[in-house]
Amino acid sequence: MNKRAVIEEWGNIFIAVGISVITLFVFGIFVSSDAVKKEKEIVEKDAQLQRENTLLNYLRTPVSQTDFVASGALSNENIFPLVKADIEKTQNYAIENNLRVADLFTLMASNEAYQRLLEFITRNDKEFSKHRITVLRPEKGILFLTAGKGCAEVSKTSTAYLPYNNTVVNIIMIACKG
Amino acid sequence: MNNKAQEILGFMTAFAVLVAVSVFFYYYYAAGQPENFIGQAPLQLLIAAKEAEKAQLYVEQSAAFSTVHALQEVAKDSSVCGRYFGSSVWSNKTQECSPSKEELTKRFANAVNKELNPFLVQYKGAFIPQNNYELSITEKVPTLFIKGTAKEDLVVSSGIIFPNVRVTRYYAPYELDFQKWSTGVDYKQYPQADIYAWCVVPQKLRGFYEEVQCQGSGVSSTGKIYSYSLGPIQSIQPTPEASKPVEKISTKTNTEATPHRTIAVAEDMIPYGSRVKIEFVGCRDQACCDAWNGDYIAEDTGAAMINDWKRGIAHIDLYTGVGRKMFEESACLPDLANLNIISAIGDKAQYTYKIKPNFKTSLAYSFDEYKLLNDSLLKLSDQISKQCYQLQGQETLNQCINRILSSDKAFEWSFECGTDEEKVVYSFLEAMHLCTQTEQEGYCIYEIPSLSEKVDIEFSLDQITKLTSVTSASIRENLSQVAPYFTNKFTESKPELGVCQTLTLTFGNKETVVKGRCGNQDVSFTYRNEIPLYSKRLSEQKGNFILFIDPLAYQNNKENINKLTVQKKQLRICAQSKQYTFLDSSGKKAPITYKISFFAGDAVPPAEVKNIIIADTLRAEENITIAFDANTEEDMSHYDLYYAAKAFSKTDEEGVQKIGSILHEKGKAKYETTVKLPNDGTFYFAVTAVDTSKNEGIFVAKEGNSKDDLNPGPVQKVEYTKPGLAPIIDFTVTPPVLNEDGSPLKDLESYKIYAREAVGGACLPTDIAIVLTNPKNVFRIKDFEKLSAKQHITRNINLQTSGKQYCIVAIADDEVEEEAVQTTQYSENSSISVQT
Repeated sequence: MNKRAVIEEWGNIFIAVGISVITLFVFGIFVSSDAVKKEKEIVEKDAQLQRENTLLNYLRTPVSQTDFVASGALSNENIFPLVKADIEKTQNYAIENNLRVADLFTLMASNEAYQRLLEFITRNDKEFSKHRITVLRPEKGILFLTAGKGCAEVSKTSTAYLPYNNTVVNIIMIACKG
Repeated sequence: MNNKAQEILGFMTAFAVLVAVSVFFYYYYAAGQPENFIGQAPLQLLIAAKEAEKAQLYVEQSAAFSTVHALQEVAKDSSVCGRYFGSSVWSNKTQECSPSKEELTKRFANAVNKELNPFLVQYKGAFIPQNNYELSITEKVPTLFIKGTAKEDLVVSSGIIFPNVRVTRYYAPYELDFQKWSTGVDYKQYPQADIYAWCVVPQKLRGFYEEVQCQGSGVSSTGKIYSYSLGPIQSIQPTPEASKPVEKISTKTNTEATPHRTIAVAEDMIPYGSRVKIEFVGCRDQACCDAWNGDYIAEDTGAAMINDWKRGIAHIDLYTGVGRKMFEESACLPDLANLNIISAIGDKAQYTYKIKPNFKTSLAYSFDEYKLLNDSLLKLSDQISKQCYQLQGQETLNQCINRILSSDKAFEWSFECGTDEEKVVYSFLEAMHLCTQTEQEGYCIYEIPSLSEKVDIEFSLDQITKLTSVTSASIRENLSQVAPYFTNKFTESKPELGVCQTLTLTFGNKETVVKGRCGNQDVSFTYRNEIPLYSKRLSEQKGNFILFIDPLAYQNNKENINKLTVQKKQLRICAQSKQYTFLDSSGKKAPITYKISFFAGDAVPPAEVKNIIIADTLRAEENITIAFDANTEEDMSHYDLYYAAKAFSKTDEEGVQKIGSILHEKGKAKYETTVKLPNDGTFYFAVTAVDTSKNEGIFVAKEGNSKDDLNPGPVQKVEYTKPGLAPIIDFTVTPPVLNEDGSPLKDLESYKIYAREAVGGACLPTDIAIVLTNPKNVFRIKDFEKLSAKQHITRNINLQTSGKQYCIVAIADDEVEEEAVQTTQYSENSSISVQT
């Protein structure tokens, strides 16, 4: 092979390498965009799983173990004494009977004290207070348990249902972004 | 370097560059991929598992509340002997019916399943099967353990996600939101009428009829529901008169349309029954979206959804409730939403997770309380029966009962419990029932209770059955008769009947308004403090029924009509547990309340009737006279008389028949009555004393004999013929039909024919006595057919001597032959002169 032929051969090789590099580059961009999409979906599903977990944990927590009740925070609340006494009585009953947060949702059907205790528990909890928790009650309308502290923008929801008198109450938990 | 070496070097360099580029891309892109995440499918399954956990939590919560409700339901209806105006019958006059522990456990298990079902069916997150639990109930005093083992799995499926689905809203129109029932517009003149049917008519041109045709169902001003006319029921029509109401605002799947639950879909897009999570997209009012975001059930459909899906457009319709207001309140929603089928049906399911939704719960309660309750009840019932029905002092019956009830320390007793509506309905229906049981005609008084809220009762058989849960057919029948009758007139102290098509009673505070359409007029009576109930007597078999009386007619006539006194013997009371309390539906501690009905009337029968004399004192056939001394009990009602052909010790023995009754009259010392018997002869008789509680006293049956005291009357006619050979004649007697006292003759046995030569050749009536006292011949005619006794009897008799004049007398005889013939046994027709 003469020198010119060798140079041509090298030129062909470098052209082939160049085409391969460009092909790989384009393929890589395609693969990565699909991966990014899948990653987004997986992240979203993972977040959904976490939300479901948080909601379930919230509902299954014994009243006695909630931050509000465990720390005895009721005594620091600045509310009308008669109302406070009523809530305290309800709180003691819940502790004595091993009630869970889910029970308070069911019992608040027509007793204000259970609703107030639920509001205090939810708003004063480290984890739950980060979420916007809304309750849809048949005939009695919407109850906003928490507005979600510093929660300007909200993401997806998680819903649970509990018996309520003879109907069902919807508990909608909305996670805040950021 | 030779060419070969240069070529190899070139290839190696190119390979190295490719490897370098690949490594670069790997680190640049692939390394950025999430390493700590699991794949989508396992994540989806984990989410489904969380949904299943939520459903399980719901089942547990529902079970906890259902068991408390079930316990309260069993306390209200625990008897094996049925119910008496809202209370369980624990005893009546004839039997004890207190429930056994086994029966209670069985009832409790049934009640738990029954109470649980409505909760399960309402769950929106997944499909929870109904009647799904085998319940195991064990008791370790003082706790009941309830374990529910599911027969079917709870299935949570995740399905397809539809992004940016078109969302419209629909509602059930309310008639009062429209000016007209129908505007008469024809939808077919509008474009796309074949796709969107009545919904193409502009809103302002629609009346109630047109709107119902578009929306599916609507509610009239009277609360009746009409649906669009598709299928066999032509419900809504252009006029209200022609329209036929339906039961409910029905969906395509025959469920009741419910806001926040029902969506209409194309079945090909989302199969019916699927649970769908809706998240609205592009919300301008976040609170509005928060309120409507959530889970729904695909259970309805519509032409728009079906046609859009055929054209590839995903479209759902959201049900917002009854009335324009409900529809407009949801106008804040955007018209796009993301749909996630969270519980898919059929091939729309992608991921499925199954669990057995078993539950375990406990109640601090023991069925031993029923035993305790029964012991208290037996003691109280006995005391009330003995002390409260023959009161001598100032104490009233209710005061006496209250005094005894309050002496019990185990339970808190009260006369009535439940809601105002229950109290007034049951007490009023019971008052009517007791008034019909008096077996007399007159009026009873119902005292109207103090009520804070108005209570309506509509009278019809169905309504009464529903209100009272009365299981006794006789009580129901009595009550059903009250429905259609009223009166506003009295004629000679008797009310005139008016028949009503409907009658509604509205109970207020010490005031009741009765309204109805009766005949061709509207009736409206207002009663204050009390309602007079007129008990109209039909007959012994048909009993009594109640009339509502015009208050004015009542005031004008009450002095002339009989006031009836009703005594309650079957009491309805409530017992509250002092030991067990549960949270009621208002979240407050409330004791278990047992609603009981028990017999506390006078169960003591009157004494045996004394000095019974049975004699045949009357000269008449088939009768006997019974005389006896009056009983001295205060609550005596009447005496029942029985007889039988043989001795007896019970009135319900075979062959014993009641002859009749004699009402007890205060102050009367002796009674005497003559009773009719089927025939003469020896019988056994009994007289029993019956008190106002229908207790019947003991007796000893006594023998009595009814004699045949009467002779047959004179024969009607006698004749003779001469067949040929004298002195033989054919003698014919026409029989008597009456006894000597004029009563019908039933026991003709024979004839005696007395013959004697005629004195002076004649046979005058005055000669009859001579013939009878001194006959020459006496012939007996007997053995004739009794059935033909009314016919002439002809016998051949031989007068022995020819050529003589005879006087012949015929006397009829019964079974009891008298020695001497009485003058009442013959007349001038009884004799005849015969020439032989």
